Amino acid sequence: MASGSGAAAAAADAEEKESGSRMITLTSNEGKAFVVTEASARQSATIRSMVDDGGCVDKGFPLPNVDSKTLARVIQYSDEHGNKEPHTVDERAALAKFDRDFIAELDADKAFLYDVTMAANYLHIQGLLALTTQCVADTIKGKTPEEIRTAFGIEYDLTAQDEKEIKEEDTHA
Amino acid sequence: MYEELQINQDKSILLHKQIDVMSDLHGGDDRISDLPEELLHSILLPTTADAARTSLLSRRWRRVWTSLPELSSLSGARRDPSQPCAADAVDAAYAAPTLHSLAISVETRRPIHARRPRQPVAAVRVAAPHRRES
Repeated sequence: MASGSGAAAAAADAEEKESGSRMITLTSNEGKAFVVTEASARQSATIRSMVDDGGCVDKGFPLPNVDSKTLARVIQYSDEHGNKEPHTVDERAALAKFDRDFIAELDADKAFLYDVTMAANYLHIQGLLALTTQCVADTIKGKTPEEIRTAFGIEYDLTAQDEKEIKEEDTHA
Repeated sequence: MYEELQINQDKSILLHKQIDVMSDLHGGDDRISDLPEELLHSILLPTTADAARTSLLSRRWRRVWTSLPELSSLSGARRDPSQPCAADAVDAAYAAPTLHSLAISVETRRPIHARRPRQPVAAVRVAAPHRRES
């Protein structure tokens, strides 16, 4: 740190400690450890509340519901949103572009989109959850049932009787 | 007619119990259908006009639509006959046993006298049975 007086540097250090220069270990259900900044980890409301409750920061957090591949991707999002705070128009635009590219990749792999959605839900990362659920909603929007089934690989298991019932319900008024 | 709907719902609940067991067995690439109900609801809410159609996707999705806790921002403009309008959504909402809130906004460029009389009729129909419950 190249700042002036010792007091100011000490204050900055203290502030850094407060705001999350600590490192936190997140462990996937495959036992793989990921070391992230506290600022990144705090993107997750689940981890944030454990940290704030004086939880076992030193021991790290095992995440039994998240596999390594998914956790790595979730951390990619949390790092981008937690470690930098966009101030300028350009920085905000860069973050928006990151989100677009991030979700475009998931959109191309619906099974992985599901994994990341479930992890975002479990970890309560609101921004990421909004991004992934919006992606699913966008896929549904304006499509016929057949097109939606194809997009998600949904198996058509309605019987003729089911269809009849649904259409009857639809015309009841 | 209301009793008839009740019977249909009871039947579909039984079917869905079977599907829950079966869904663990089928190993297709469909994972989206495995999302928890609350997430599927949050996905369907902003797409209400399309949401009614998702009941025709599969047995699993039929239940998702009918268990929506609330509906809002239904749009009534219908240019393409394959697109459901607010009245269709209200009709479907009539069959939703857990619905506790319904907000409708109808956007249409047609003059008010040209609207189909079915819309207000359907809205009244959905209000009746649910008011009885609360």
